[in-house]
Amino acid sequence: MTDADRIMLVVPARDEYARTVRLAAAELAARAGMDIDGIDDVRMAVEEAFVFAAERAAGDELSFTFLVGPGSVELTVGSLLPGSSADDTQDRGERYARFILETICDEFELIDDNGFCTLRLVKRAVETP
Amino acid sequence: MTQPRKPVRSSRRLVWDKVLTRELFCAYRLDGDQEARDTLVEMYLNLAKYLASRFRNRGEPIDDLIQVATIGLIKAIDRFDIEREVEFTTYATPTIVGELKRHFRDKGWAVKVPRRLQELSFKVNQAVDALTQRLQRSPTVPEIGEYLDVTPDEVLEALETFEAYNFVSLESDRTTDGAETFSILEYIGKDDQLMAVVDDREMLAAVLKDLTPQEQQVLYLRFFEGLTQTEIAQKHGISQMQVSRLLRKTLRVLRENLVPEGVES
Repeated sequence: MTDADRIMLVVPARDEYARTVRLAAAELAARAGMDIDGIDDVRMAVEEAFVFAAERAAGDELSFTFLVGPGSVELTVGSLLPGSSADDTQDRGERYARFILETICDEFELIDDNGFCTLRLVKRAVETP
Repeated sequence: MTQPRKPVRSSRRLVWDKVLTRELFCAYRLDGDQEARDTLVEMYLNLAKYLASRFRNRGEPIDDLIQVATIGLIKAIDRFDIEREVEFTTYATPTIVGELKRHFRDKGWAVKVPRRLQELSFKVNQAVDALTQRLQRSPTVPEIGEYLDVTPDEVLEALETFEAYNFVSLESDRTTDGAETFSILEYIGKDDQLMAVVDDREMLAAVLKDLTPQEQQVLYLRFFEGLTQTEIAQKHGISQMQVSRLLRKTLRVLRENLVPEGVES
């Protein structure tokens, strides 16, 4: 993405901060020019991403990086522990996150990063005629 | 069956006497003694009042809250299992608090929200529908702000408020066409993505049991048919914000059932 503003939020990996990140994300999606449907998708995606990331947080904090450009919002959440297929709950958590986030977002990927994992999402605005 | 002792009055109120409580419960449960039930209500009214007082300053008159808490107390008395080795107060407290919370949830505002914001939330909900009709697409935040003569920040605040505080109860939402009997299980094949999340169809059925047919239908339309919230709203004659709220509740239930150790947001 080019010509994008970068916004970083570092919050404790605790559920009560999901709302903080969601509120910020809604504002950023509106700033990117998204319509109400798009903003709501971003809020929902951030909430699911938060839950997913909190389960795998390598430390006590989570770092959300937003790249906001005209008509799009990209979110990365880094320094997550890689999933373990031996852990049923975690494995199901990943499959669930994938199911929801792949539908809501235009791009979804889990990137291996030197033993850690980064979640990356992109949501684009619908072109208005 | 021996008659329960007369309750002990201590400065106009009845004290919580464990032995007497048990005797009264025995008289009520085993002999159907309504007077014993009334005495229990009277004995534990202070507990109801105390719990009601914890919800004051949320915009509801304290008398109303005491009434709600008393209903919770009566339910607790009627449901308390005297065979269980648990004190009545331990059992009654969550029942009464649950009744109070339900009251706020049904009433709408779980915490005190400024009236201005309540009204704005309602207006934004209507504006989204009106603008969707006019523009034939989902409106943007600046468009809603302009329509209502408020700032984009106020619109965003109102959107969050609408969802968080649920001021139209879900029960009163209009039911969408064909939603009375909708079951997502009938529409999901073994290759569908949701089936990849769960272990088997039985597990999926167990996960879905906490969702109403309407919630299942909205989930299906959004995540299987790929409809946008506005399209679902238009198709079924409910507002986009109602669809949003239904979806969020649905995802919360799915997440809690599928990933029980996960945090709740």
